[in-house]
Amino acid sequence: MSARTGLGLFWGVVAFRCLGAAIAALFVNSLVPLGTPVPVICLFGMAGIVGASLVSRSRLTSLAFVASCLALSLGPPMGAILLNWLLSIFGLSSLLLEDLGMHLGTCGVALFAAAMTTWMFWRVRAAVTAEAIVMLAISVLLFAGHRDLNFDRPKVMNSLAWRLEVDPLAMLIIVGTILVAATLAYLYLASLAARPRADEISVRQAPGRRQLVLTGLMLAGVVTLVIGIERGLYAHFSALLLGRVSNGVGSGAKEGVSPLTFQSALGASSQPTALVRLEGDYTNNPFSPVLYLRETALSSFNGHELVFAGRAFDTDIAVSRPNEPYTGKEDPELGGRKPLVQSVYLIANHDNPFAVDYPVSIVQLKNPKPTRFKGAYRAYSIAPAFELESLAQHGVGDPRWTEEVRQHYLTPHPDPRYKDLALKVTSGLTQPVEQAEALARYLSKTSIYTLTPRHEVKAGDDQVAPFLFGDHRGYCVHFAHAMVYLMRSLGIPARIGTGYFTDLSQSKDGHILLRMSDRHAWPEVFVTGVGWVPFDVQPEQVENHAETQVDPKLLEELMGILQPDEELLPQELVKDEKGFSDEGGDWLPNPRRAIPVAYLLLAAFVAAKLFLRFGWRVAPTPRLKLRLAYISAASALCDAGVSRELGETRLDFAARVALADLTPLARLAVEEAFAPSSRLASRQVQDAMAALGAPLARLPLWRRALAALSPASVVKAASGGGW
Amino acid sequence: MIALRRFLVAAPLALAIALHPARGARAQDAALEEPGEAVVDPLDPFDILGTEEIVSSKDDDSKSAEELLRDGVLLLQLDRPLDARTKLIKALKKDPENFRAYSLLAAYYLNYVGHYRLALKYIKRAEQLFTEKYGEPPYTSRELRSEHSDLLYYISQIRLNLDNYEGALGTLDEFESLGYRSLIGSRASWYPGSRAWVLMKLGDIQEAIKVARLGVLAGDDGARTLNMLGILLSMNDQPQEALEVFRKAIAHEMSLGIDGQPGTPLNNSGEVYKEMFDDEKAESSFLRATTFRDGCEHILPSLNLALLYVDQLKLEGAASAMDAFDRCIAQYPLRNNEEHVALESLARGRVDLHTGNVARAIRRFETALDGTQWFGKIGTNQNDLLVASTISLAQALRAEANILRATVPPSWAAWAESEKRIAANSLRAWWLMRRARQMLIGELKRIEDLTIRNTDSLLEYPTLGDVLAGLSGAAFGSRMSQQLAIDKRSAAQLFYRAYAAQANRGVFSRSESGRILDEVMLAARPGLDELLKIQVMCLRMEGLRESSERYRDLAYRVFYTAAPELRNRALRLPVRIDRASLDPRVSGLIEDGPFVDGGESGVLCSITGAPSPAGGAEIRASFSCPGNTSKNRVVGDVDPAAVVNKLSDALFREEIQNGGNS
Repeated sequence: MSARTGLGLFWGVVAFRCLGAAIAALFVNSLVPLGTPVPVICLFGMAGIVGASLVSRSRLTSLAFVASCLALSLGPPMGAILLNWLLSIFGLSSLLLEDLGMHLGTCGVALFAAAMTTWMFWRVRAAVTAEAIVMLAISVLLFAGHRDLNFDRPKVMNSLAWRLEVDPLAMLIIVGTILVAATLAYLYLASLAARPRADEISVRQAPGRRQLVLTGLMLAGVVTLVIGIERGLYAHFSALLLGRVSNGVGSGAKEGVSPLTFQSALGASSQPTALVRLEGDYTNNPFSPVLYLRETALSSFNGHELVFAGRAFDTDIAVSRPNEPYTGKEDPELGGRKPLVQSVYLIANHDNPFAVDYPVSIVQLKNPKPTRFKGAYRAYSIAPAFELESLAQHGVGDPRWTEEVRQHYLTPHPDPRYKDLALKVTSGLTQPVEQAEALARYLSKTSIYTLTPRHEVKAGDDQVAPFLFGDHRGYCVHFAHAMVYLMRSLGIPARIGTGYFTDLSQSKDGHILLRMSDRHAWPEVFVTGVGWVPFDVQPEQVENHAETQVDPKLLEELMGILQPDEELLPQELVKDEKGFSDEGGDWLPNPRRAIPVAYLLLAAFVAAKLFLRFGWRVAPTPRLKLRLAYISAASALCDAGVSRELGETRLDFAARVALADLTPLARLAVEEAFAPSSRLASRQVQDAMAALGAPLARLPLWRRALAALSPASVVKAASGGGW
Repeated sequence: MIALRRFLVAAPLALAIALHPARGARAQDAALEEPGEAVVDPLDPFDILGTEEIVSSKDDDSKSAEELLRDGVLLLQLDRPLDARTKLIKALKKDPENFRAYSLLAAYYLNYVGHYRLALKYIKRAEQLFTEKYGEPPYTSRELRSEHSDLLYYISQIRLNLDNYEGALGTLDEFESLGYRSLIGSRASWYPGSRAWVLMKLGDIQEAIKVARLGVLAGDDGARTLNMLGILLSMNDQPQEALEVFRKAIAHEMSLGIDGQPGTPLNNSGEVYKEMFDDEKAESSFLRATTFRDGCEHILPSLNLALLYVDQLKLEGAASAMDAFDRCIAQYPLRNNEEHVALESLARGRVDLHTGNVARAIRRFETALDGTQWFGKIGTNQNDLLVASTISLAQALRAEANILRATVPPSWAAWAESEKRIAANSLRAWWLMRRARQMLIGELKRIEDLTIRNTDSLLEYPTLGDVLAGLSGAAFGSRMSQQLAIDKRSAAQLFYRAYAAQANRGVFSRSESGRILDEVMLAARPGLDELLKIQVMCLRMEGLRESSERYRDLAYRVFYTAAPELRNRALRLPVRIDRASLDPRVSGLIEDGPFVDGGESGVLCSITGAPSPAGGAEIRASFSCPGNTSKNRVVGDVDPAAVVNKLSDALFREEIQNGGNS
């Protein structure tokens, strides 16, 4: 392998490690606030990597390296502490020095860790493998957060997905792939880079062009395969997300099918699914401060569970898609209700629209931000406004129902234990509403809420019996089924409502953020003259629960999207306001902060170019002046696209160059290199440079301008020169 | 000082509010375009203003923007904020160049929702449209001047709520220079209070006092300016004058009847009493504040009360104060939890920590760290909460590690898991303490909150030494001597001495440190400085041999007052182990729990065996302290390790109702 390739690989590995260190620092800071600014920590980490990489090529022993590394890392913080102590003798001790000491301590740890791992990379053969294994193990540990279908974990990944407007599940898959690809690339790169003090053969054969092409083709094949697998994975799990695992309450209204699951409600999460905006005050909400948003109803008993009955029965359900308009019918016979308008902005895919109680109309709205929302509609509901206390005076069932409909809502469970229990719980009560309340109270008292009931029941068997007549452990799906079976056994027409159950005290300005964990199934009774009313179970004992607070920042961000358009409220208005930070990444680097860094890099670039071109003028010794003078000429030519080729001597190169007469300078440089003369004078160098003239003078103006801007010479200098 | 005041000054609305004439026709919501029965009762005798008709959007299309704005304003007056918002947005869409629509929406988001960033966008747009239409100020027309003064009012209040004090001061300067104070007279009475607040936040206390005094003399917005003046005087180390001003403010608010907000000055005076170490009067002020609407719906009086009770180790009282607040806030369903969730979690977490419910305490402190507080309205800031929650979380993590150390693992797997958690907790606690010290020095300006009972901070002062002890001796010494020079309150000196003894345990001789702690223990006020006393006792115990008489004496004093603290701090309780009656498997494990064999003499409590139920495999152990039966416990299990752990939980964890399991 040529020296050039070797150096390129060397710096490639260093750059790769620096990038990894920066990502690691960002990531750790998102988990545990480091206190010290991350860029500063990165800078120290990178210094450790570059320093250790350079020193590893020397003859320094490991012991000496560790000692100097410790001194470098611990020196500054210890110095700060010592200085503080010394100052205290004069009564000048300062907390600020203490603070500085702590910051230096953090940076020192970053420097030490980076330097040590880098040293081991270059010096210990097995270090690369160990490092890759550790990296993958950490990744596995990290991604293990999403086991049990909790796709919104780890939190840091979920925030990143939200900021980039990517589905969290897709984000997990993408990051996983990138991580694996990066590890493979790292291992490949590490296998190419020469490690003179670790490898038995210090110089390796550089990969040929054919080998590179083959590797590229193989990589492309692997990537295609991985993308294919990922698409399959994504399709499978995204269907599961809202279909089966959101609090056990899936989505969809297909005749004869239930979207509910009994086995586990794990996977419920704080992942946002929709934003609901109340367009008016709902002051008479009988369930305040909670709100039920119904999506579908399950009323048909198929022998082992309740399923969707179809349009023939539950006529109040909007059986349509969220992107289709719907027109229902208001029931004039039902009292104690008021109109309520809601706008719903769907963040996750939904099979059916949902609304407060029953909607009489659903119209589609313009999606305010298609990258954020899957769709939007406005629902006009006839919402409950009755008083719960007044229900006791009402009977149950609708006198207008046919016998077939009545029987449909009264179809009991064949197991006689349901009726026995219902009779026992409601003994002495005659009013159906009172009986329903007594049953709800009983279940609330005896049930234990858990997301993992883990009852062992065969498919097709009664899933509720192990809960109701067993350990009483279950979640909303069990409670709702049990209530319906018990109520039907007493002749109370009942069904299960599914959709969302949310706490309005977490809303803001009438905006409600719905999450996966708000998915819910509840029992309903048809109260004469009032309609379907929830008689929900609220267990007093909780084993485990997915309850989480709504993220107010997220809610505000989404509210901001629904505000009048940019032309009405341009962002420009508040661009210079202090204390105003609009929605944006919490921990993602702010692009504005990149501007000073860009300026710094530009300044460094200009300084490097100036030094390469004019540094020889300020060199203190003739020998250095000669060296820099030659570099000045060669770098100018390099920027113009003319550089020394592999195996070409400096004199051959000088002879080849047509742009300027480089030969006197090259000859002087070669003579000085092979037969150093103590008589070399600055004048000689100046004469050679004068003979050279302006190296690019013969080029047209545009090419000279291009050469002045070209980074070629700086990059070449940074990667080890070879002028 | 934390100042509780929601600047809900009645919006100086530019629009004349005209009552909407009730219309006799049956209202039908135009939104319900589909056929359906009307659901609004036009003959509702309680709907005398025809509210439902105004809410109805039937005629909205034919209404002008001004009419819609008028409807919106009326609905706000009728406490129908969401209906009002819908009308205002319709008005805005109808006439996007109408600056009043933007201005009213800004007022809505400022006063009703607390969404200041959005309010700022609206008000800046209103200002832009206003100047586009009428040119740059000054204006000659009285009407325009009045409109412009309203815009400046909103801008200043929004900036103030966004902590942009320089910007707010600039707006107030503009307001003054344009002569609006004299123009709108009493409607500008909010001005001195706001200006004094801004100046206070910018650190110019003397100028702020001057402004507030002038405002009081001019009779501007009596209560608000008086409150501000009281706060400033208290900050200026004039507590008696501050109390006098708050008394006037309370009287003024009481005179306003149902519209008054006496909870605010009562809370403020409670805070002054607390700083003066007059705990009884402070408690009484906070309690009274919570009986008024403004004192009950805002968390601060309840929080102050809870934190005071925690200092006194009246933990049930602290939990009850928070429960009472929860019950009160439930009456305001439109209010958002973000106002108080972080502060409530902090207070409840501390109750959990001191009752030994450490896992729940950790969850609550993490919630407090995650939570966003609506600080604009209560005057404190995010860093105060961040530091306080970080320290409390670190203490809870340490406590959990200590509890795990005192838990007998039932299996090797449980032991490995426990060791992992101990290591992780210890590391995290160490890092959090370090981070807290960094924040105290950096963000909180060289530990400015070191002043004991500084009510602007949320620190737990009796245990603050835990974090200060990590500072280097030199830095801590210099900061402490500075503090002692400025704080002459004798009760506060006790705390400083306790911190010094804790921080310098490595520097002082053991006896010197012990002597200081003993002095603090003796001087602490009984019933009031209970947490400080327990902290000092525990620190003292850490320096003593477990077999010593002094250790035994202190251990029992802590055990009878705050038993969970012993286990939280890895201190073992000396007991007499009756090996004859106790199952040998259990007696062999007793000392792996939070107990130490104290021998026969001088030990007040003992662990003995108890008869098992007939024929059962259950092993039973009994704990008893002759003379104090409240601590007697009997536990049983088939597993000897579980017996020790159950006994440990029964003795060192107190179950009190503290807001459910969340």
